[in-house]
Amino acid sequence: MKRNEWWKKIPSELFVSFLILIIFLLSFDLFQYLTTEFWWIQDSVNYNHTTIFLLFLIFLFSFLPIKKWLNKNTKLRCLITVLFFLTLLGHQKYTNFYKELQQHPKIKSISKDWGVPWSWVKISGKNFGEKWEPVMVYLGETETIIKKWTPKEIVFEITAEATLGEQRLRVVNSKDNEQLKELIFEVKPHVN
Amino acid sequence: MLIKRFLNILGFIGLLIFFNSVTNLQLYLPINHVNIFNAIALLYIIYLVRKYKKIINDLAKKITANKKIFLILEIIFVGGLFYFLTRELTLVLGTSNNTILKLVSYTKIPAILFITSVLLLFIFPDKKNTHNYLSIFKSIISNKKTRLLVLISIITLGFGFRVYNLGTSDIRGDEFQVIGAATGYLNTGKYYQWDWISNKAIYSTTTDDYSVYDRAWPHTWMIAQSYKFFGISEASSRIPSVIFGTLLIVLTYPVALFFSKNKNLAVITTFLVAISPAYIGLSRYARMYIVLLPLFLGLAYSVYQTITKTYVPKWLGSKKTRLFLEQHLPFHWGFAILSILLLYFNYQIHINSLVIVPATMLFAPLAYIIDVKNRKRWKVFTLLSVLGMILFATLYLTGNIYFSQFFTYFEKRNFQYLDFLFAYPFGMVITLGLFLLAFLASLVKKNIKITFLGIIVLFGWMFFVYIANRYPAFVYTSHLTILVIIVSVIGLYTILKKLHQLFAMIIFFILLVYFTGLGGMRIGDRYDYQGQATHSQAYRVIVDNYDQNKHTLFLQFGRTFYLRELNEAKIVSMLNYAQYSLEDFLSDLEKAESGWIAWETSKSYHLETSVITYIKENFEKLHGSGIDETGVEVYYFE
Repeated sequence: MKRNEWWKKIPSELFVSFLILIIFLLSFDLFQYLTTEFWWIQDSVNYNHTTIFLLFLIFLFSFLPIKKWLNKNTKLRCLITVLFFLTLLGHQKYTNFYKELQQHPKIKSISKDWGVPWSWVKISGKNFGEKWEPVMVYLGETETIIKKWTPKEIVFEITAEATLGEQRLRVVNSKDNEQLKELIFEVKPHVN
Repeated sequence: MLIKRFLNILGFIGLLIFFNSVTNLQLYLPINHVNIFNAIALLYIIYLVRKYKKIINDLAKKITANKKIFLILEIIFVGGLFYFLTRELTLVLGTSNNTILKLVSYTKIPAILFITSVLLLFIFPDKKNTHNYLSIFKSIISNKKTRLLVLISIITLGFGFRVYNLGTSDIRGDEFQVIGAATGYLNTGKYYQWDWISNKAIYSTTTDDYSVYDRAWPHTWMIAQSYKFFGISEASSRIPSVIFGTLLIVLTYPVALFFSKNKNLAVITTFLVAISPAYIGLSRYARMYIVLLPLFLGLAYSVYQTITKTYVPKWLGSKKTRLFLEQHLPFHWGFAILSILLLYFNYQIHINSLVIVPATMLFAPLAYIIDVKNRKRWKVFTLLSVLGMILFATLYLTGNIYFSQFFTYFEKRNFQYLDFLFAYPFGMVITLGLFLLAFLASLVKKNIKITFLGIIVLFGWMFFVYIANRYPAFVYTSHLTILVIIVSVIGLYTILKKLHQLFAMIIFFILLVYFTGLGGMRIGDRYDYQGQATHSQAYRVIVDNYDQNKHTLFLQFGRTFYLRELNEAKIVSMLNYAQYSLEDFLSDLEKAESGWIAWETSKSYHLETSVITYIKENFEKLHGSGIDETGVEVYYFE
């Protein structure tokens, strides 16, 4: 049997599966990043929903006459196969990147970008550690006092030792990872 | 046509997901219910093999005709077997730093070649028909001597997994109270909790009595005996668990043989028990659960014999009495006495063993329906069961059942038990499917042996999911899982014996290797609970530097077993459930000149955040998160 004929004998459903998984993985990665990191709509994607989405894609592709297109088109089959493996690699890399992101605290908003000593500031975000291992907040090199902690919100007090002027606000977790985005906070003196 | 297309595509996707699971390629597919896709993949493989049988046959003929190719396949097979064994043993022996083993464990290609080669070698014999592994297996098991050799090897393997490096992991969790009671018994003859520092039984001023822990006292007694011979250590604390874990393997063969009537299945079941990660884990844990397993298995066998056979010993009375008993209480009285004894010890080990009583009561009317030949016997038992249920209901409603606190009125929904009961040996979906298949087949074919085992498991399942008033944990139904293994293997055989040998071997091999080896529940997964706190390391700094004139110990869930080198110590308990306030802490701190503070990292929720924050800000940290992996926070203050 010639190589071409052998290639054509592979069931076209395999290539349809490849195509479905390409669409599934690309959609999931985009959806996850946008909704959890960019738009802050949710903390994480529900895998029950993604499973349903996969089944829906399978159902949808059962209707499409893809088999007809794939049956005689060797080049298309090759292209889909190559794209599939590239997608798998890309998805692996994305997942590792996303996991690495979760190792860092992330700030969604801050109540104000300036404060005076002894005043309180609220930060909301995520990856703020656990109750027994909460993150620490620094203004420059000076540690602040955490007055209230929840997994998504921290209220800290600017200490008297805080250096006046613009400082880097750093939220650091127990693994010594700080937030990736730089945030500048200004410490102003009290006005008597 | 649409359905066919849908199923074909679903099958291929199932195959891809299955392939990811087997080879552990870490593709991070974002889906749930992977087990269902794996089950779909297996069914699809059967379908594909049937569809492309001719192509496979032609390919097989070419392979088997070519001796060189066949030899290469055999080398791959042996190499793959070596890969499988070293990969699992790496986790057990802890030699993952060895370069060769590391390379072997990370290389996925041998695994893929292994699966492919063994599929072909298992199915297609060579010209002389000598390489059919199914025939070889059958001939080994049918010969008594070789069968005994195989069983001894399995028991030795199982014992080896259970005993290897037994004392290297610290005492953990609930083990502390058991070893405390065992030491108390060793020194006082009573099950008193032991104060490791002052070396005496703990006396509680609140209750004005010694603190007693006599739960599962037979197990505690055994540990005390172990201490007598081997001294007090982590290893000697777990020796009784190893013994009973090995006894379970020994007992599995005769019981599985009795219920399945098939030597091959009995050997396979024994092997699955020997390498079960959960059973290995329980055998290395100084708690009573592993003692319960062989006792419960023996009890199930004994109860079945009691109710299905009739025997009245001569010493029970005159001929007339014996005749009366034979007709109206047709028990096997020998086994009845054994059952009562076993039930007593089962109950002393763990109250959960009592599920066999209501399960047997439910079995009686079911047996009456299906076992038509013995209806007279089952009529008697059904009547006795009804009387038993009425008695129980009366006692329960009048508040005379002391363990009624463990019941709810179907308020619970602990569906985790589905996974706990059926995850092993073939994954939750497949094991549950095979179990139900075997149970239903037993009803149709009137095989009351399997019906009996099935009823015990199903009743236990319903009870723990919907009624039992306790958080769900694998250990609470571990004694039922041994029955699940026996029945699900029988269920697998029910399917395989109907199929051509070709399909039978494909399915059997994939299930056995995948779910017990390369993927799924690997031996190393539950071997010595990873990530546990290591107090022996964390407390070392306290033991080495403790000054009894100056230092005070502030402990939350203090594991004083690892402070026993201190002859005397001033200890302040930081209580639990955040009862110890910052004010209390500061007040106690004022009275202390200097000292140490320690708690388990994972139990930090027992301390108030303000207390933790104060400690973090003011004292020197020596162990714990951010410093090491001991899992114990240790601070020094002065």
